[in-house]
Amino acid sequence: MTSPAPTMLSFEHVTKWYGSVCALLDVSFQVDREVVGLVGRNGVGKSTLMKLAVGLLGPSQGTVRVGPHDARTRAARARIGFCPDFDRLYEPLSGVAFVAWMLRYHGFGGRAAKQRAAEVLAELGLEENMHRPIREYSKGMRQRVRLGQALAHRPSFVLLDEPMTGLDPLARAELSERIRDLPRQGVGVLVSSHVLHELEAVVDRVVLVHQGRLLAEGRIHELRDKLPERPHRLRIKGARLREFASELTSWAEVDGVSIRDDALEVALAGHGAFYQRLTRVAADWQGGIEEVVPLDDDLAAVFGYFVE
Amino acid sequence: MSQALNYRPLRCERTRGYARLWPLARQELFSVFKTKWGVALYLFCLIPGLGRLVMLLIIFGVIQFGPVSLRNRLDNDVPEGMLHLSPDHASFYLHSTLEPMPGMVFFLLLTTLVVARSIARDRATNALELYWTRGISPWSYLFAKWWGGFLLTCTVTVVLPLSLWITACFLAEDWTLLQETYAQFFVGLFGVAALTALWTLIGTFVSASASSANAAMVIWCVLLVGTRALGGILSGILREPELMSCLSFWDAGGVIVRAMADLPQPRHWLGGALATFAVLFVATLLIARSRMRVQEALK
Repeated sequence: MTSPAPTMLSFEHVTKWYGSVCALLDVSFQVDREVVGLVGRNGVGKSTLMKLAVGLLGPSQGTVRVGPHDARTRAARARIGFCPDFDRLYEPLSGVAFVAWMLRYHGFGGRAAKQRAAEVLAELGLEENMHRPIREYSKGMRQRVRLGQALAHRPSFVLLDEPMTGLDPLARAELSERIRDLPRQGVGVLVSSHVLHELEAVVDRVVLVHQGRLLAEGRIHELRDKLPERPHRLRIKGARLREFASELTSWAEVDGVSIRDDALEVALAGHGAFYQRLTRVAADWQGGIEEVVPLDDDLAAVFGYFVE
Repeated sequence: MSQALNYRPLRCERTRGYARLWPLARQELFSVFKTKWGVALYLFCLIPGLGRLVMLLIIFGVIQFGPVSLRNRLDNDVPEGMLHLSPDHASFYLHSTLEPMPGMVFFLLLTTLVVARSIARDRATNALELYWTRGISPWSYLFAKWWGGFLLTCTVTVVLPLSLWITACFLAEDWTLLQETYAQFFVGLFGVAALTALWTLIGTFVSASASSANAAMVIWCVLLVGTRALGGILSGILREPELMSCLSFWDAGGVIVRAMADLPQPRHWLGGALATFAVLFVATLLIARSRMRVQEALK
């Protein structure tokens, strides 16, 4: 009987003290071939968690593993790609020279490093500009170089710290797509970002951290369902809203209805059969229902509820 | 659309110590040549050596200003204070490196803009994470930064005097110059190399301790120029020239090298110079040690 393959990144009962300050307390979670978002306010332990994962720090208690290796070993570091949260690279170097330089630390010879650097930057859309000095790059190009140096040595796990910072909407969309693509190529991703709505579009699961503790982990909708004391809220737009409101108030699943800015805001006590019933009624509603939008089913709302 | 990034199962390739550190040291060594201002700065720092070369060519009559070459007019009775003007003495080749003017000025210029900024710049931009997550320990990183800075500074402080001496040996009529100067010259050159290593190491420690590149540059300038000014003032007021060798960090280095090679030098206090160097080295090492801890360095 063979033992199951180890997860790409695992935190097992990790506690980290800085002197008398506890930065992380008994944190456990795993990341496999998926995109996991790390969410938390500033100063709650996200950076410590990232530094533990890349082996910059060791845990005071517990273990951090990359595949079968302890995160602080060289074998673990060879398997990790890290895209740090800073913008200023070595300005006089060209993008390809910078990535090739970073590759030298992973055992690539001079020629092989240049070849692979050019390959990965071309794949990231920098083919025409890779030989220009970095000081002439836009923020989007610099972001690609940062990502390139993290991916070039073909890691099995990538950590992205605030990868969306400073990017224009088009570049953000493009980067999101690239991040989503990584698990399909066998790469696990842990991404930390403050831009929650964009993170939501990228991640499979989230890990919520607050005051050094793991608040919750899982898919966003699953997490939302773990909060039964928080009624789901919906916004409904359509014709004859007052009549529709009086229809809804008779339903057992509805906790309250109010009209705001030509739309209904509905609070649900439970939503088990509500959506099926709403679909039936809306289909027959004279004048039509134009829009049904959940108001607190997104990552920002879920995170806010958990923190509260 | 995203393109395939061509992932494959990773074969962990172990990189040996030298191969890990040399790319970083090489980057530091050539950093000054990446911009035209850097190249101009480096060429400017070669001026004292080139000046000496011109002197040498004039003395040996390659460049002639009269019917008789200057060398023929220089007899063996050169006064001790003027030995650094005679190619027959090792002082000639090491003088421009060891003297505050021009040696310290050009050394300061080069090391301030390269060595003192090296780690402070990476710290300010958070680039330390890039190396430290690639299996380079903080001390290996510091070593590689020093290595690059040392090699670059050596091209000015060691390679130039050596080139001058070799040129003089070939310009001389016979091998007498070589035979008479090689022992003293090579001991002096070794001393200069060791001093360069020590100075650049202290400069790297200063860089590791400072929170920004500008702060590192200011501290480094104060260490060299400030202590020399202080030494000059105090030794003048107290009429104790020896004080200069233990209050000025630059002069302390010069005193040690001259003592090693038995080169002529004014009144000095060798013990004080050694103590000054030891205190400076240990103090900067201890500060750098605490500042290079991961928790301290990566904020």
